[in-house]
Amino acid sequence: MTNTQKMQSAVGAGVLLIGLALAAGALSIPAAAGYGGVGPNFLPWVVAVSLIACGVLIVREALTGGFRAMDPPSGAERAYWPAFAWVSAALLANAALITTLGFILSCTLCYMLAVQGLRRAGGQAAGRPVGLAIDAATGAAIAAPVYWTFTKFLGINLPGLTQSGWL
Amino acid sequence: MRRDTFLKTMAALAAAGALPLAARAAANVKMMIPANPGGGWDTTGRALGKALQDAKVADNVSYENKGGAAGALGLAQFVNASKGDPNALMVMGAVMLGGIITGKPPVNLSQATPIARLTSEYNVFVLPANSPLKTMADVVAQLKKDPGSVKWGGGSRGSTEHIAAAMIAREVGVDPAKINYVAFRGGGEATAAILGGNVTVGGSGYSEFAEYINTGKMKAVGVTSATRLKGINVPTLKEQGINVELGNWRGVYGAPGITAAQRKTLTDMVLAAMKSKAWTEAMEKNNWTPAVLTGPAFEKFVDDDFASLRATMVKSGMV
Amino acid sequence: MDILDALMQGFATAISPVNLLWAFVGCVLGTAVGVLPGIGPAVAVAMLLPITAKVEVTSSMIFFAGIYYGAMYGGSTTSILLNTPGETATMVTAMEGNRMAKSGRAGAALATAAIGSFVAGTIATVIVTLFAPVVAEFAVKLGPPEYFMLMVLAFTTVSAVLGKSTLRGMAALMVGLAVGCVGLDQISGQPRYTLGKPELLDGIEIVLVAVGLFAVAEVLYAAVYEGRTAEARNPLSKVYMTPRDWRRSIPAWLRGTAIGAPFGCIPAGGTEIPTFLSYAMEKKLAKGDNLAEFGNQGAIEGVAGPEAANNASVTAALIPLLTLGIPTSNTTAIMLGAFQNYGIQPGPQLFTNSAALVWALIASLYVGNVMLLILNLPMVKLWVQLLKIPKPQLYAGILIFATVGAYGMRQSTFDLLLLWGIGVFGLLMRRYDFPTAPVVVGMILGPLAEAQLRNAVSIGEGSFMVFLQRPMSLALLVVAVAIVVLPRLVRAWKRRK
Repeated sequence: MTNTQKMQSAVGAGVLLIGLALAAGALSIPAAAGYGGVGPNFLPWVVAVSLIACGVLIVREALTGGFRAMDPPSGAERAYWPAFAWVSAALLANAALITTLGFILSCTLCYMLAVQGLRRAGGQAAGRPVGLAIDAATGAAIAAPVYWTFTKFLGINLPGLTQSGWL
Repeated sequence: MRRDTFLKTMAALAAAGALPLAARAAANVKMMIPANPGGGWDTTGRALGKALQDAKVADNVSYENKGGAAGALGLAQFVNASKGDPNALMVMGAVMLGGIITGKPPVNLSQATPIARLTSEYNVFVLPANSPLKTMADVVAQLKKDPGSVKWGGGSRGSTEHIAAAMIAREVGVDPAKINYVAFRGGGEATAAILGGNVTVGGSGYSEFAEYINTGKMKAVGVTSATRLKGINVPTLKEQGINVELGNWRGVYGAPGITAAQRKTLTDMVLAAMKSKAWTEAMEKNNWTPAVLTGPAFEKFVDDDFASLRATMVKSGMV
Repeated sequence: MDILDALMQGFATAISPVNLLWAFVGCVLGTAVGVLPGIGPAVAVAMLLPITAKVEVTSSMIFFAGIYYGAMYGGSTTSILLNTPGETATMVTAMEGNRMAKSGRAGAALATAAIGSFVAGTIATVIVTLFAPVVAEFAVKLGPPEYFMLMVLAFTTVSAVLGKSTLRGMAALMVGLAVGCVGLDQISGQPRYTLGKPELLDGIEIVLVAVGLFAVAEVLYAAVYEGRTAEARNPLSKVYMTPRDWRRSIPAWLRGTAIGAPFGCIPAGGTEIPTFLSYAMEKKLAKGDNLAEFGNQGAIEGVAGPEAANNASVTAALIPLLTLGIPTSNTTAIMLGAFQNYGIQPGPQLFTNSAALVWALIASLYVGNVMLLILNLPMVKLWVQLLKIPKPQLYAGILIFATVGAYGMRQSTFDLLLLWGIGVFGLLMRRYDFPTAPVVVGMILGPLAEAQLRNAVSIGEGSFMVFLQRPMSLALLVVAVAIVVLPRLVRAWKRRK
């Protein structure tokens, strides 16, 4: 079995697992249909059973020569996981800090982390102080107008470091 | 946005940016709106905020929208984040009580401080224009004969019209769990179903159906108020011997743990806002009925409403 | 004539300075969005959805329509110049368009795409003008049983259409349906798959899933797999077509429109099928030298036809959206959400309840078409400059906008975590060639179809016979069955011959 087939089987197994998890969840949804013909657990069961079937078929495709009608994925053969870590860190840090740091600073940080990851992925030099300063400025330049549009123009409060609506 | 509002927004922006806000002494109110922007609570909260400013009892009002689970998410955040804050307000209403009963959130409304009920809207039940039934009595007669054949069309499950339908069934001695309530996703869909005669009887807030009732496309057979609505010639359910009274009211709550004096100040601020021109305009524009109730009377009202809602929802199998 | 009067009223609204400004800003933004690979009109409208809280409904609809159109125009530019379709609907354009660009005819390709889109958009808008009210009048008679049958119809076309592998397309659709199940069941109020989290009681926002699957997954994919993929750029030649180009383009535009418009009217027809159909048709009709250009130097018909087809179907998609409340594409789905934010339910009642809004929207389509043509031809060179932003900065910037889209909706950090999770899921889907569009389609259609089914049976007092007793629902059922069965019968019959 080739490596691709292994990975594809794993994807199929993943689909199968989602199906099983949905089926497990569907067990606890009541069936009372009232006048509606089908109860609230009808669609969950249809989905769960279909996904289990899809999972099985996908695994079978993977084991019998790989996915059918598949476009070879674009980009590099091998994944560059450090970039994944950087971009993920960007998003997760944003989720963790947005209420404390405020929208602008948190998004700027998110931008800086993501740029780091994407630069490294492209094999560019990253982490020089000048570069970092430029990134911080660019990130703030994108995030700040967005923030002001929301707080000042649209009247929707995004979290800020201060109560002023400017930062 | 019309041009004048557009310009007004711009002017307000310029003013907000240019004027030092600490110059005056009135309060900076923080308003929690436990719904997404654009809905009924949002309109109420922003109208109240404007009225507070118009009445000069608040200097600045900042709004926070936190929608979800019939307001339970916003309530949770309000209770946790604004403990003891004398200038925090939260919009709430009958729908939140229903949400608490069905959603069972980890917080309770009794943790926050009741301030005032503001507005109320009553429901109306209508028949399609070409319906063979003519009155509420006809509907009740058919309901007693075959509960399934009376299709009640209205908004989502647990909405006031659903609860009212269940209460009617209970009052006339039909098992509320047996009613055939067809919950539509949006107001428009329910309206279409009533106009097209796809349901037997429809329910909604009066203002939503007013146009169809006036043009004769729907026949109003009963309102859920205690007495007839002003200027509207539709009998109440009570007149027709069905003891059902139900309003979809909205109100405001203060933060948990504020002192009695702070509570009094907040209540006075809200009462002052009710007298402002901005509030009167908002009431008119949105077709709201004033239903101001404060202090212990409001507290008791909420408790009673909570108990009766829960009882109805339990009996009709909604919980 | 009533329609003409109403339309004039609509023009009066649409041509107000403020609305013209919104239409203009929408067109510009939409074009930018279409040019930028990875973010489509659906994501753009989704990210701008929070403006519905503040901006008046007519203006925001005009704004969104401008974005929708602008993106379709803009999407073709990247397809032609960089062989990078900005949108799925412009995938086919890349096939011939990029070959034309490589043989130095980028200008002609861009011009035929822009003018073809204009011609098709205008014709389709006329169709919306004349027939949408007729469809609307007809729609009042429909009820939940018919709606459900329309959903069934939508499912039969959607699942077969989106993606090359039916199996992976189905898996994606089912995932979408599953996500759509999360939250309180609309009919019974029972919680489903909420895992005890109050944040999940209201379900997962479609917008969140769309932004996660399209924008965040795109950024992740670029970081993980495409860091060292070089981008080829072609010099942009003059924006101009020879008389021969015109002679070949005009019939192709008309044929493309004829294929695209009906597909737009069919609920969930999608914009991709008509482009492929149009491409296939142009190739079949071409003769001699013209045919030889296909797949070599690039044939202009192969750009003109599909571009007209996608724009025609995009415009005609407004008919089911406005009259039936049925979204036939990601963007119209999100526009439906925008309507609902205003408490307006597009559907049978929209033309009667919000006639002024509808006609203003239709009038703004005409305005938008003209505005886009004026914008597009001279601006092409400028938009290409946007693509010169280095990839790291471009994609990191997209992440900020994704955050705004996700966070601005409910102001919940839970949604930001979910956004990341969905992005990672999208990364896997992209790597293993699972189409992402069916997820969103399933999420939208699933809960709708389920609610309509149960309401329909409720109206039938618990009997499924209600679908057979009503003539329209029976007719729709027959059509749906025919769509599934006929092609297979024809294939079987041909094989036997």
